[in-house]
Order: sequence, then C-alpha cells, then structure tokens
Amino acid sequence: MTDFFSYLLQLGGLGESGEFDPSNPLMYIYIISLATIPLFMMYGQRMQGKIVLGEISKSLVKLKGMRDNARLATIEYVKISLPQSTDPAAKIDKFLEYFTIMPVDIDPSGLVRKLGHVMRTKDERMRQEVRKICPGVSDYEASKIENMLEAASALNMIYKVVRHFYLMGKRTTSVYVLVQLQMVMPILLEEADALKKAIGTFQKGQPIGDGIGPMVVGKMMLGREKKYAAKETVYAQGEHKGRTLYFLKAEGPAGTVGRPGEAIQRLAGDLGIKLDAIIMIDAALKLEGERTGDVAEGIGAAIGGIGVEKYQIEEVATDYDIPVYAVIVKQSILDAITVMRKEIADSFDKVTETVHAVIEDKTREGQSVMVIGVGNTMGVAQ
Amino acid sequence: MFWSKKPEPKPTIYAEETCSSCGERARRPFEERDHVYEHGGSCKKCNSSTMITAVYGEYPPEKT
Repeated sequence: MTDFFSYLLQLGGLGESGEFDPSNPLMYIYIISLATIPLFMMYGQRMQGKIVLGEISKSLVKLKGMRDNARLATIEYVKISLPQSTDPAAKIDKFLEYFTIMPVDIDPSGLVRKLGHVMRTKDERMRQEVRKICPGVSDYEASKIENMLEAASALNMIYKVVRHFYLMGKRTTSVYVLVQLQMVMPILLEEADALKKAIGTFQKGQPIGDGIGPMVVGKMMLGREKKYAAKETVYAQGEHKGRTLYFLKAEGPAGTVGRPGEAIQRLAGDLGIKLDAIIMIDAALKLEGERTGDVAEGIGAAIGGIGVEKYQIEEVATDYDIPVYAVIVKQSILDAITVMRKEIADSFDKVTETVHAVIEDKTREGQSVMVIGVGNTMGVAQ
Repeated sequence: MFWSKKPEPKPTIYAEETCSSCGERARRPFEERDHVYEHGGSCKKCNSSTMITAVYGEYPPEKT
C-alpha cells in the first residue's frame, strides 16, 4: 500500500518531503480523481447513452404531441366541414398509415415513367380516400383536407421513425444509434414544427410561401381565357413586347401543385405549340444566412418534388431544344409551407420585373415563351 | 424567469386589396375565404370594387 502511495507521489510530485501525508486533503482528491478514470473507461459509454436517451425521449414526447395535435386538428376540421357525417377518426387513422412503395431501381431504364405511374396512383388513391372521408364537399374543401392529411401523415411518419430508432437504441444499448439520432433531431424537430404550423395554414386556406410562383403567374393570367392544360393545371395566352406568352399554373384557389410536366408535354408535344424559351418561377430553399424573399435568376428546371415533373419538363426542353430559365424566391422550409411571409409577398414586383427582363433579353419579337408558376396554389386564384 | 423560453412570435395575417379603378391599396385582417385575385370589397377612396392582390403574414419586428 505504501508502495502505491509513493508511486502516486512520484507521478504527481505531491508532498515536498516525497512521503505520503494523510493530513493533506489534496491527497484524497487526487486519489479520487485518478480512480474515476477506470470508472469512466468502463461505464462512460453507458452513461453517455443514458443522457442521450433522456434527450431523445424529451424530443420524442414533443413529436408525439405534434402528431396527436395534427391528427386531432384534421379530425375536428372534417367534423366541422361535415357535421352530419359519422365520426371520421377511424378513416383518418387508416389514412395516416398509408404508404407508397417506390419502384425497383436496380434497372434504372424507364424508372421515372414507373415512378410517375406510382405517384399518380398514390395521388388518385389519396383523393378517393378524401372523398370517402368527406363525401359531397367542394373540390376546394377537399384539397384543404388533402393537404392537412398529407402534413399529418408526414408528422406521423417522422414520429414513428424516431420512435423506432429510439427503441432500437434503448434495446441494443447502442450509443452509436442514439448519437446519430440525437445529431439529426434538431433538423427533424424543425421540420415537424413547420408541418404542425402548415396544418393551421391549410385549414384556413391561406397562401403559403411556395405559392409565390403561382401568385406571379396568376396575376399575368388575369382577364385572359383559361384553358385546360392537364389535370388541375390551366394555361392562358398573352403578349409582351411582341412575344407570345403562355402562362401555366395549377388551378387555384384549391391547394394543388397541378401537373406542369404533363401540361408542357401536352402543349409542346400534342398541341404543337412552338416554344423558344421556358421560364419557371418557384420557391427555393435558402441557405442559412440568406434573406427570405431574395430573388435570384438561373438556368434549369426550377421544380421540386420527387423528380417526375422535372424529368418531363427537361425531356420536352431537350427534345425541342428549348432553353429553360429559372427565377427563384428564397425561403426556409418553414416559410415554404406556412402562410406566405410579407417579405415573400413583397418580392412579387421584383420577380415580375425579372421575368420580363429575361423575356426581353433572351427572346426576340415574334418568338414564344412559356412562363410557369411552380408551387402549391392554395388560396391563389387566376 | 430569465431562463424561460421566449414565446414564439406569431404573424398577423393580412389581406391586401387593390382598387380596380383608382389603384388605391389597403390592407385589412385576413378573413376565411379571402383568396388572392378574387373580389375583395369596395374602395374606401372611390367606392369601386377591389381585388385581393396578396395575403401574407407579418411578424412583429425583432427586438435588438
């Protein structure tokens, strides 16, 4: 024992005489602090796991609250819309559990076509289910319920995935699973919060940040004859400084994104409209530090989603050698799916000016341009 | 308490109306069924009909 203490003294250089001094309290602190090292070596990971588990558990409770509130808000809204109907809770719960199986991608040839087919089937099925839940409501009301259900469904999915990894981490006591979950948790909570707020916006039928494209094009379409372009998508013809303009957007004020890809295939392909340029206006996710409502101009198909619509537009543009220009309005994910912020609405004039500048700069008199307002047109007519 | 979480700012939702004859712009609190590019009310200046040209949420200015 004395050997051990002398060894410690040698290590720490304690005690001027070089001997163990039991009256010195620092000596005991020193011994205890050294003893904690093997303790942390053996149990450190387990302790870290417990702390992480506690933090994830708190976030999981938050997510559960958001999921339950979203579900309740949707049920209440359906009940208010259809006071005579039976309790829709069971049907809505069934809807929240719907899933989509993506097509096989080991043979990528023709994948987008298959993907398009799956997504169309999903959309149609969703619409049918909404009609079953609330028969007899107007298209506008049905689109509001559909958007609310989609947000509630996304929240349900986030909650279930987080719960899965939480329980898996707890069962396997794997700190690595838990730490990975803890790292992505702030982003997941931010997305969940955006979805939660989006439900209130859809319920009131207010335009969302993503609707800036349809809002700009909707103004250009005012007073012109609106024709069918594709399902839930309309187009109109106009003129600007000697150029023929075709305006395309989802049919508002219902909450839909329309089918711009199919529409452009029909207009340029089937109807044989010769286009010299395509200009797409869309909301784009801003990087941290960028200002909401900033307008930027670029090249390429500005459209989000799974990629089917983008592919269709790019196919038409490539087949007919049409340059595609993009005008985007920057915003965060929260701004994009909640009520349109004033900063985004204020960018309206700048977007219109930019579109006109692109038309004048990139095309000559006598040429034709397609202007597409991409995004969810909730609360925006034309 | 100084450590308590700051309450989240909530936006006030407005509908902006533009007069179709004199171009006068005015905003009022949003009401359900207000849709952009649909008929608004009547112009306070010339009594002509107005059109809703924007619906947006305005957040209170951030305290520095």
